[in-house]
Amino acid sequence: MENNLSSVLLEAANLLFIGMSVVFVFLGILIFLIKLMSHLFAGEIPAPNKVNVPNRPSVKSTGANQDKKVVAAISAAVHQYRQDNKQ
Amino acid sequence: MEGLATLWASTGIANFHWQQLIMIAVGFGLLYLAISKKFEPLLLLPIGFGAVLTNIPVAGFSDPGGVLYYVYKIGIDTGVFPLLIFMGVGAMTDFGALIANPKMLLLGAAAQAGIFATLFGAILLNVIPGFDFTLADASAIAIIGGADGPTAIFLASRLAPDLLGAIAVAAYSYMALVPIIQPPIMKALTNKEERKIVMEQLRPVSQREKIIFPLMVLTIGLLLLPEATPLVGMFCLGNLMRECGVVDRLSKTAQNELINIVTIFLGLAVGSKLSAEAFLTVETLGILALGAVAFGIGTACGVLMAKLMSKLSGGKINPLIGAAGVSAVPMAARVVNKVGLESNPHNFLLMHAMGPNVAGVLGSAVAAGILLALVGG
Repeated sequence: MENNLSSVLLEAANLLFIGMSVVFVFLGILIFLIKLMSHLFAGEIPAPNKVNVPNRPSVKSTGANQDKKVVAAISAAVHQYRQDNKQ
Repeated sequence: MEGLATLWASTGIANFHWQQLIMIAVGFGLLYLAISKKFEPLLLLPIGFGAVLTNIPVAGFSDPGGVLYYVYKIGIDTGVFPLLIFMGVGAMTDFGALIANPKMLLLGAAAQAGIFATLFGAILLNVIPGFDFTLADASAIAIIGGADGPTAIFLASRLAPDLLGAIAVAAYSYMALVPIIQPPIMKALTNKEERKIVMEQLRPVSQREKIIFPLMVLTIGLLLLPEATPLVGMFCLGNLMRECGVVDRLSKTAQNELINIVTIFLGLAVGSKLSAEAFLTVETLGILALGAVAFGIGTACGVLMAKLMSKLSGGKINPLIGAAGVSAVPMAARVVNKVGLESNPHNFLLMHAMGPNVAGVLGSAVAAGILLALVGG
């Protein structure tokens, strides 16, 4: 019985060693492959960003442009009004 | 008068054994935990009800010909139900956080140490009279440390069908107890400064990466560890359906209707294994104790690995996220987030913890494959 127990324990130790190594090797390879993949598609990564990021600034910039136009129009009108009133 | 006697002989009261009464009480206990305490109610409710049904005398739910007998035979004996659940889980899992920070896979790997360390514990328990775990039994018990219900059920159905009821109940109970078991271990192994570490924001991940990822995992699986491919393969199928964007209908079915239907039957079938003769043994107590140990060791190893990575990276990694390496998605990640917020109320670790969390799912599937290959064959 004692012998049997120690042999099973030995087997369990073996399993512990092999098991953990395989888990680490498996996931280690996966890390390497993910990095490789990210590298290969690095140009493509910002894609969802590109859709979003330029969109937001472009909305803002058109907003800013519009603002500028409005400001320009108003200041021109004010200028004109003042000029008219002076004379 | 004779008719009355016959009728009496066919009532439940006349036929009860005290063990069956205890098991029915256990079933009601599980129902209580599910309904009042909200412990994994989606599974503990059907499991508890199944336990009540299977212990009803005369009706023979789990005898050949009974409905639970067939549900078990079709779904768990064949391994189909846990695999369908795994497909649904795959369809619900977003690997973005992991792809953005692949090093997190190491945490998912480290947390699997709980599984293999528990193997020792199970074998050592044989010293105590009353325990007689073979290596196959021990492996099936140890997988509780993977904190993944379907994986535990799948492996137990392959390696130790007699212990399946106790193993499944232990696995799901401890998954529900993650918020109680993990924080003390996490706090004991880290100091306040470490818990405050704020991590960099993750980069966005493209759809193409997300589509390639499951195919890549499957390829490594089939090359290195074919025994793990039933689990890994179904998981990857679900995930590919989710990410590819052309089969949204299938993806939605896998993560809603299908997984719900299968969950009902899986729970009932597991409950049918909670019969008095299989559950009321000292071995069940051993399984419950070993499950907690497995869980604790897994959490501790994950945190220690994260600590090591934190040191090596010059303090860029918060060691708390290592605890999410045991799967238990998404509960473990939420616990990490909560403990992190206690130390630094502006530090949201949830997204960072999702990486090791989903890595833990892969890790425990791989560990299950190794145990199947080495012990089952």
